Amino acid sequence: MKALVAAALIAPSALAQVRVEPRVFVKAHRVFVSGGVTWLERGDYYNSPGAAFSAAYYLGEDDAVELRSAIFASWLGASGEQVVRRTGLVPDAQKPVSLLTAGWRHSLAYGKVALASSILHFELQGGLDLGTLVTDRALTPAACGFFGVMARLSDRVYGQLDLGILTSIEQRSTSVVTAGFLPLLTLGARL
Amino acid sequence: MRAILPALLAAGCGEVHFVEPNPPRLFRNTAAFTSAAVNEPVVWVAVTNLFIENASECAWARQISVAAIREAIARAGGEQIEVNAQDLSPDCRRRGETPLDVNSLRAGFGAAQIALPATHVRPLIVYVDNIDFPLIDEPAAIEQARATSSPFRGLLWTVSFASVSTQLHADRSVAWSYAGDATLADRIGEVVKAELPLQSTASAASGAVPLLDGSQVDVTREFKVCAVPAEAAPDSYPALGTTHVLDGAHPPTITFKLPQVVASPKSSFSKSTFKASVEGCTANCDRYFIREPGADPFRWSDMPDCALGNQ
Repeated sequence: MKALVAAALIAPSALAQVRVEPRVFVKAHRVFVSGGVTWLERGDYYNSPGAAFSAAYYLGEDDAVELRSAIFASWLGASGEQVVRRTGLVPDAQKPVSLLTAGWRHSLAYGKVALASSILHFELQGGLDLGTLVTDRALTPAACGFFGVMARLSDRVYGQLDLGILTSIEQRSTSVVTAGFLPLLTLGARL
Repeated sequence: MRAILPALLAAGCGEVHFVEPNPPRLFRNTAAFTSAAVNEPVVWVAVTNLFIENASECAWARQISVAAIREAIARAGGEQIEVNAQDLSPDCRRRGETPLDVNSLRAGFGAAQIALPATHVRPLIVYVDNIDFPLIDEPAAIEQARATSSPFRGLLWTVSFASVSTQLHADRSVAWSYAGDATLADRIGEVVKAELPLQSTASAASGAVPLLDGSQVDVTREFKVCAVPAEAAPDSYPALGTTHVLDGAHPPTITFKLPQVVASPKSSFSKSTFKASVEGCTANCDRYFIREPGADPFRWSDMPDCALGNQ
């Protein structure tokens, strides 16, 4: 009975300490542009690092439309190069040159974390882009689904890490659906 | 998150195969030869064995029957020799009254062969009989004549009832109707049209048959013989399973041995066609040939067999 009374006395004060802060990382009706690095890994014997650029306009706090592009500096990897050198055979995969997509981005969760003496505000996001993967031989239809983190670094600067799966339809020895891993790390600014 | 990353890396899919950027340029050619036929002369004899109630019509019946045969056989064209006819019932009163003179037939056919030295004489005996009753002595004599009057077994046609043609094992038969039947020549003519002139294979061998066409010889660098028929003369063609460098001055050829058919009735003679296949290479002959995506690559010039044929 004593414990019950004590709990009844403590609970209101504990509840009184819960506060909801106003959102610091505000995005609605604003344009975010960013640039950074990427790497397309799709098991095609090519090393494909690249530079990525994106621009997103947030319709609200949770949804945005975005344009994304990447330029790859692809070259044949060591194992592929060895086969080429020894036999003259080349992989039938097409060499990625660039990527151009447009799509939708959605915020799944908002949070903040204490890092050293500062507070980092971030969002977990996901999305889907459609467009084309330009190769050394053709424009191939492509789709990219991704999850990522968008973090506020200052009032106008933000960072973004997206982990995407890029699929495309490519004519090799036969027509195949390819899939590859596409991480993008960019740094951007709110306009 | 730790598990997701390897999974995403593993997700890189879409098979990648190594391919030959400069594959050998190949083509397939089939060299074919069809044997020709030559016509043989028609050397024939009429053997009549008629029973006519009115003896005064005997000679007429015999003459008009032989005339119908002669008219029909003449339609075959080409060289023809008619050996003197034989009549086994001279007065048309008793069937087989006179035995078949096999020696005379043999002499007649022999003379024809001498007269036509460059040909193959297969005798044709046209036996005319108007009685629907089994023969007694004639079958043995006719069989002897067929077997011995020429190096080639003689042919036997009958103008008779079916019982007689069956008994004589005739090669062809025309139904007897009545003496003086105006349709007889045409009915025999149908058989003539189907069977005469007799035909023989024109030559023993094909001669050198080019394995590559003229335009192919101009562009081919190397070639392989893929397959030849059993009739190919040994050593008459480049070895199988080997890559040969084309010598434009001496394009590859093959010779076929032709199965010999001699003086065969037209209906049973058929021309023979022989084919040999060749695979030629016009460029990049030492480069890799990959049969299908993912298959092992082989240098075409080192492959023991032809590449295109097994695809």
